[in-house]
Amino acid sequence: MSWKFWIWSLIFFLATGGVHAQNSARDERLEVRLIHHALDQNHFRVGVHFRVQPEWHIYWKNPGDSGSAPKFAWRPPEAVGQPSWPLPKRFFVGDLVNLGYEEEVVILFDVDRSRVPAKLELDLEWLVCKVECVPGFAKLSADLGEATSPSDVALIQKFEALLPGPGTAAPAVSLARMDEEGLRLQIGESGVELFAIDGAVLSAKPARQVEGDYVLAWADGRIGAPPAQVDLLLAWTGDQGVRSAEIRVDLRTHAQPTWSDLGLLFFAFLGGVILNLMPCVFPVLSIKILSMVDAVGGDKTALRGNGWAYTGGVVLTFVMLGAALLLVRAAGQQVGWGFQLQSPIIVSALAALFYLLALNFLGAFEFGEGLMNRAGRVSVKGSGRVSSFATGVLSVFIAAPCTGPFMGSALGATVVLPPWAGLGIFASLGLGMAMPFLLLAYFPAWTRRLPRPGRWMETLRQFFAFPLLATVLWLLWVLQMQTSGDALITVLAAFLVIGFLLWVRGKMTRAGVRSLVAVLIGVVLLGALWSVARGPVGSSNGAATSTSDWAPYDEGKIAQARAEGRPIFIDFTAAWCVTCQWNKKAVLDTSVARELFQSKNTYLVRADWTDRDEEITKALAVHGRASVPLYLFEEPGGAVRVLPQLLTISMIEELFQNPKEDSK
Amino acid sequence: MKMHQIAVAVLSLALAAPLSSLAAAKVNEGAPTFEVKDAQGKAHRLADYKGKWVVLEWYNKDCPYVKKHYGSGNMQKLQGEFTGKGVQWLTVISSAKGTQGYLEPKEALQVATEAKAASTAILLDEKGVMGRAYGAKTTPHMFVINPEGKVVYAGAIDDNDSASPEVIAKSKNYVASALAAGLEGKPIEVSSTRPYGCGVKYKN
Repeated sequence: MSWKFWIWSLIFFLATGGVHAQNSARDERLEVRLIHHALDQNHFRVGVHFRVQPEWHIYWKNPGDSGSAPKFAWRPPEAVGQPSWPLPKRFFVGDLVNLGYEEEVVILFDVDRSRVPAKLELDLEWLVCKVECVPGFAKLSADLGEATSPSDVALIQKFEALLPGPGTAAPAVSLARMDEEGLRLQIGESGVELFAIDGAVLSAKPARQVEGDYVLAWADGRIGAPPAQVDLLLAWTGDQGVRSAEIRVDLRTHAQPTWSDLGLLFFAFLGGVILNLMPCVFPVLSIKILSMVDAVGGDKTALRGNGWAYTGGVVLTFVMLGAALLLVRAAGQQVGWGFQLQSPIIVSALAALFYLLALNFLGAFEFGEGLMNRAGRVSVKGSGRVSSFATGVLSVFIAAPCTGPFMGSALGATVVLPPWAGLGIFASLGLGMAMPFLLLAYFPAWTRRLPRPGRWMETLRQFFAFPLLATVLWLLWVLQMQTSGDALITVLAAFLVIGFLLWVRGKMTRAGVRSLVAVLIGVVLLGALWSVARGPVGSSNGAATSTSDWAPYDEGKIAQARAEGRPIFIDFTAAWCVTCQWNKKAVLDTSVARELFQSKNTYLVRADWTDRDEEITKALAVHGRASVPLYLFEEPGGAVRVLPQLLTISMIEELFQNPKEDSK
Repeated sequence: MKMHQIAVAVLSLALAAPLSSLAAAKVNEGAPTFEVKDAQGKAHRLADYKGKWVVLEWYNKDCPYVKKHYGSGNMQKLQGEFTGKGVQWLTVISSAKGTQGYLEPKEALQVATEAKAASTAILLDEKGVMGRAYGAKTTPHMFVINPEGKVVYAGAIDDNDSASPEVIAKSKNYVASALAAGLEGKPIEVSSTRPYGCGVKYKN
């Protein structure tokens, strides 16, 4: 071996200063010592007690993306069992996630004293890191005959309480799906933390919560087939505080599409069928099918062919819309129902859209029939199938504005589901929409039983204006939370002007004038949107909302409250999140809750994510979340509890009933 | 009939598009392309090495785990053994300027000479683009790429993450195993492991 090797070895030994065996060693980053506790005559608990300087940390058995677990070489080796690791913490260092311990930890071992002739000896290696890492070595020894001080016994017991318990106590975990990204697990509880035991298989990043399921990513750069099973450490908050257990998840049971996935597809299909009743679709549809039946005469094959062509057109268009949505998502932007509502411009535009649609339903103006007529004209010339296909495509675009209130949740789900499920939903929507047409193509006799487009259509159509107007109301409420009262008045004024212009247009007969008025309407709309865009974008962070007990999200102030020993409650919310508003009204803003919070001098934080604030997005990500609501309660002493997404007042009461012991 | 065929074709294209754009970001066995200058100013691209075995070794001269392998001569031995067999061994430094492990081109050449390194070139990836493309997390983090451009091994250099050089003799060296098997056309036993070492000091 080269002389350099010896120099490095020497430096390592010198660096630790622990060449001679004793029961403790220290350097400027940490202190380590051996402690023990007799459980009975021969069964001892021995602990390797690390005390680490602030900002430095050591590692768990799976250190995570980088780092290295402490290594124990006992003498005599047969006297000592495997290490028992207390529940670790996650550390985010730059791009990497590490799993380990800070401040203090005791790694525990079971020792059979009858096999220890004299002193118990340990060759210890560790790695302690802040941003840069320093390995350390020490030779320690313990005399098991010595008495243990009560504080050491208490220390051992404290960390024994943080050891994982039996797997049977853990909430049930089942594998919902396994794909390129990782594992999707269904767990009976929310606020569960997951730690991979084998860092080569699963990433150390916290699990992403998606619709109540937990998504654990594969380790970066992992190649090859997935293993037959994975072992995980699960940590959850029970009645007696945080508990943990190691569980094994069998990956060979192929994840069947779950109830919720199939359910979504079914509802999307149903939604598609209902779309046909929409006044945007039905009248033209029934006319189209009747004319198609007539044109084709008795030719059943041609009729069915046309039916399939129409289905193809509809499904294809829906799938392309879905694909476009997914491409945008893949491009890194978070596009989806909820997230769109973070931009006041989008909210205003949607409000204007639904307003116009409601007016259309009420009969204030007509549009779109020109398009349908043009498609119809194509059929006269070319083959029936092309025109049927084109009709299918067009029907989707005309129906799209009608999807709003019905399809919101299905579209939202598309954004968070894996690509195949998202496209599946769009395809189901399309299939549902095309189904009646297709059925009629197979059973043209039923066309006779179709209700003739008539007055009932008008009534139905007018009826649907009201849910649309309710949506407009909701959007305007979101808008005024995102901006100011002025923006709201601007938009409403624009609505008034547009309504007037539509009435004027209705009275005009000359096509040129009608188009001019239409252009004017467009100008007014754009003007309103521009004014909203330029206006103050203040979320309710600044505005005085229901109570002034709640402070905006400010990490500096939170740290200050923490330093003052105050309990901290953080409400991650957003104006468009209905659950959040419900929780606020029913629980958080009630006088009972307020009194409870105030009596303990709780620092209340309202993290308003209506505008997708970057700092709050990061804070959510730290807890493995990508959306709201999220409720965090931090006790003085640092223990953090995650509350469920649907709150009750008894949950708030519980927070203050069982104060945990100060972990310092 | 023609309509149906066209529709099916277009439909499958529509389905393929978003899936392929997402696949590239995930576990992918094709090695990401790169274009980085080495310490002598010459540019290196993955395409330059088509038809050859390539080893990528992420390096930080001050990291105790890199020192473990260089101080003991282990890394240099591997480099010499396999470059002698035609393997292209690229040492990559992705430390940002001002962080641990960053070296100016002249310094890098000097350090390599002093350490008697036998790598083909030292790539200076100060911006961290190459490191991030490969997902290099630690120093050392090793990647073995076969002549067809596929990553056949990614992870730790060996199976013992102790910082002590003493364990090297008894450690199983994954890179040597992967190369030995690959050069003989045999299947590679272990294709990925958790890398160990210091975190790569990327630019923020």
